[in-house]
Amino acid sequence: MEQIATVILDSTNAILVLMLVSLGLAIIFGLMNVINMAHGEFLMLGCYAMMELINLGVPFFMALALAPLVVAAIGLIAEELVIKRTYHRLIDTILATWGLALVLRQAMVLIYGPGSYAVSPPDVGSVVLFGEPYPVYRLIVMGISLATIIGTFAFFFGSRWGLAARAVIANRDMAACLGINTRRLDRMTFAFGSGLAGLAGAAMAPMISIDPNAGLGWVVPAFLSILVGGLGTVSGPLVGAAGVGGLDSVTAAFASPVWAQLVVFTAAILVIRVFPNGLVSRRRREA
Amino acid sequence: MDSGGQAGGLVIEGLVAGYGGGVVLDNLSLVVAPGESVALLGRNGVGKSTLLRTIMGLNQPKRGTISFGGMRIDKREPFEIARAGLGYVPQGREIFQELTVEENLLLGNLTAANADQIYSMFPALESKRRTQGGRLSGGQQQQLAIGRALMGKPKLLLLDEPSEGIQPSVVSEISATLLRIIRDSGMSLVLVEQNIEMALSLADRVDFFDSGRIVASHKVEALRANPVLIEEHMSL
Repeated sequence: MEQIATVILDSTNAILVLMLVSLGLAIIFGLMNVINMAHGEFLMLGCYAMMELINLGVPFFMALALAPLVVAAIGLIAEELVIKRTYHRLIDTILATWGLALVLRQAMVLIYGPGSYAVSPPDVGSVVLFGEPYPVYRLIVMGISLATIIGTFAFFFGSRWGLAARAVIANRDMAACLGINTRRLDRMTFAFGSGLAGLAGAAMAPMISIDPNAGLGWVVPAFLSILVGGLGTVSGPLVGAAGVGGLDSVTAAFASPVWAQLVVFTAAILVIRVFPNGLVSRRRREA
Repeated sequence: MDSGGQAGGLVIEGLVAGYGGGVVLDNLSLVVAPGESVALLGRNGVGKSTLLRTIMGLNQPKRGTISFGGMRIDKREPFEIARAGLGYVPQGREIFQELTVEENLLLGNLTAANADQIYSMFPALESKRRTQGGRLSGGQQQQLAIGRALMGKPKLLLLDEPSEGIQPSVVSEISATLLRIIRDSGMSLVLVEQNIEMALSLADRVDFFDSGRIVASHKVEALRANPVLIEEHMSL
């Protein structure tokens, strides 16, 4: 019983963080038609930003708030230097962002070396949940992720900026013809999406080993989440992330990480075979 | 710019545009003075919609210039052109199907407090304000597309085949509303139409379009006095 409770809590943690990563990826694709192969690297930058800020003496939770902003700023620069030159050419966005990923990874190798680093979790102790001690920091990460997801939704469905963003997702040309500054929206979108990945990286920094490849393990599940959940909605990637993240961590806990990968990929292929447009868009069409 | 400055309205000179290697607009020139309403008539596929898309910056001209209010707009982004005072109602209306009527209207002007002025012009929209745009009838969708463009208080409205697929009673209702808006606001209009009655009721001048350029231009009074002119140009 205790073990099951811990697995459920850990799975929830993994799902919520994966949701953050997938959401950033999906927003960038939905608004900009850019398939961002460097998304995992922005997560990795979030880890390093966290580590640097803590080394500079910034208190842990302030570093956690600042690291996503640092990553968003790097995203803004990348958008200006690379991404904006690939608009309207989907395949080129894949190549360009893949190149960007290589550059970012190698930059970290040059600056910090290929070895791995660790960040100590903040001293917030643990609580007893379902008869087992559970680290409070993991609960905080869940809370931050959930709040960020809710905040993103509130922004998308409750603000004029969000309305403009939804219009661009639905019909970019028409939105532009109404005077919506698609250029600025693109910049903000890429920075925001990168920031979400950066937040995920910063929050996970104390729980994972920080190295230049730290983001690799997240990109594939994030892409799978989007494919399974469906494109063109904000909720699709969340549903996908719940499925992919949940299945992955539960299988990893009861079997092994290798089995988890097999099970997740098989399930994803089956879902995409049955629902080619993803779970969410399929449901909406039938309604 | 010389003529652009003095006209203040829309000035197009020597415009060549098309898709890929093909030329759709061939050395086209057109002037629309402030407050003037011009209808573009011509058979299908002669480039009328391409002209409107090119004016809005959705299609890049190969040659020639487009100015509005004395400012060159042919190298600008669509959002900059819209902000310069051009409103665009495309063929097929292109309303945001999954957004509500009110959201569609607010997209025409994101800083507007509400869309009440449009509801007073098109009362049919007010009772549907919470309805998804895609669930409206064709006539209501057209009113919505026009209302959305009017939210930005354009100085020039580009209207592409507003009567397409709409029942005649609604067409005349839309015409009457537009005529009132044009008179009240002093807005210019460029109307692409197949419906000759609608074109004549709204325009001051009719330009006949063929093979990517304007081949004749007549005042509406002249066309009303001599309808044979219309037949001549439309059956070219």
